Amino acid sequence: MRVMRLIGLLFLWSCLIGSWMASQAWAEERPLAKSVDELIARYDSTSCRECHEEIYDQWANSLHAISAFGSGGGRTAATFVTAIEKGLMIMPYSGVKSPEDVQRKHMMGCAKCHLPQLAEASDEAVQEWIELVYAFMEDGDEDAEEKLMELNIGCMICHNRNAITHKWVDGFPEPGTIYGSKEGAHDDEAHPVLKKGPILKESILCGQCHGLGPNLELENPTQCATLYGSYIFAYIPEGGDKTCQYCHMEKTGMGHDIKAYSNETMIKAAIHAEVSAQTYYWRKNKESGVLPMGVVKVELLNKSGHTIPDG
Amino acid sequence: MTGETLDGKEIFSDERIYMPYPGRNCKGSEMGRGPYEKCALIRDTGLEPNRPKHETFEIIFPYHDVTKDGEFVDRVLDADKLVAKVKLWYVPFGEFNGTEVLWYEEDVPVNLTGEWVWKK
Repeated sequence: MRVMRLIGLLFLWSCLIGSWMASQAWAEERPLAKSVDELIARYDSTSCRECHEEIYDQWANSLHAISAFGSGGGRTAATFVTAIEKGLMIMPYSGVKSPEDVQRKHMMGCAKCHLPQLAEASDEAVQEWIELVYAFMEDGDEDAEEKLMELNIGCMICHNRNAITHKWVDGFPEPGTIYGSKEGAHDDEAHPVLKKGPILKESILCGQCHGLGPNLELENPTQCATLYGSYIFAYIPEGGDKTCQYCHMEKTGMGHDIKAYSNETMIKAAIHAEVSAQTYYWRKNKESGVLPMGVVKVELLNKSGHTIPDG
Repeated sequence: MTGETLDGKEIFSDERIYMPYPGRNCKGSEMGRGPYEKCALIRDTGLEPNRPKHETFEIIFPYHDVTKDGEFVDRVLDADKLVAKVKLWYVPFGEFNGTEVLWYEEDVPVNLTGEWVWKK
């Protein structure tokens, strides 16, 4: 009996150790993806649609679905080219004299937010990605365009890769696990485990990408959005207490179709304006005399949780 | 903001720009060109959350002076009613190139009333 109890304890202990080691293995870099296809597959969220059709379709309509391609026919892709040609190639110490010299580290300034999973791409895969960008931008290559649009911020980014910020507190994101609102089993072969995501409803989930200012951890800091910074340092001190998710998902009723400046619902929620006019006759001075004056007063109130404009 | 007479003649135009002004590589005073060289802020005129921004636009109604032998005789209003057209645009790329989004639009009457006694 004692032996059985000991065996049981050893078994339990090995399970715990194994689980911890698996999470640490995940925390350490997985083998880098050697190709764009491998990177796409690693974060492919298309299977989510089978059970989460409404949410998936909402997301598909959002900018997150084209984060590395961009709206307006590929504006983000175009900016990657500008970043290379007007940035990296003229920076004397970047090591980039042509697009062929671009490595992962050069693009993480953009990809940190537009394609965080690029951190898991080999330089070979990054080069392949850059070739696709140029093929689309210079030749209008439709196959390249299609592939570029498969690289995005999908379900697996927020619900796995970026689901935990404080890893020493909450653990490292685990393979095969979806971080959501529940715990238990998840009816998906590739992701059979469901765990509660500790920051899913917290603004920091969004803040990981939506910017505090210059990314000083990079060899050459970039800065795109400072929105999360203004949320913390302007909105909160003015008494704000809502999360990004509340305004951009819940209050609008748009869920995962997270929109911003181009959406009428968001525009109405963002700004209140009042205009009034007054007239009088202004005795200016001897030379000018009395002038008929109209005064138009405009009051603008930003009702959102961050500076406008920002991104 | 533009001011027009009732027959559509524009007699006033002014604008305010609300935006962050990021620096270039956090050195000097030039604005950064793109995310790859933008760093911190030199200035920020953006609309801050929950802080009302008040703008005032002063429009002189169109008038002309009547003189005789070089001496001032009278000051005459050319229009005592104007329309102030206020628009707020979101211009994501800094250019009006089809990507701009109209956020707010209002036409406000600006009507001069009352007696104008002293012209000079």
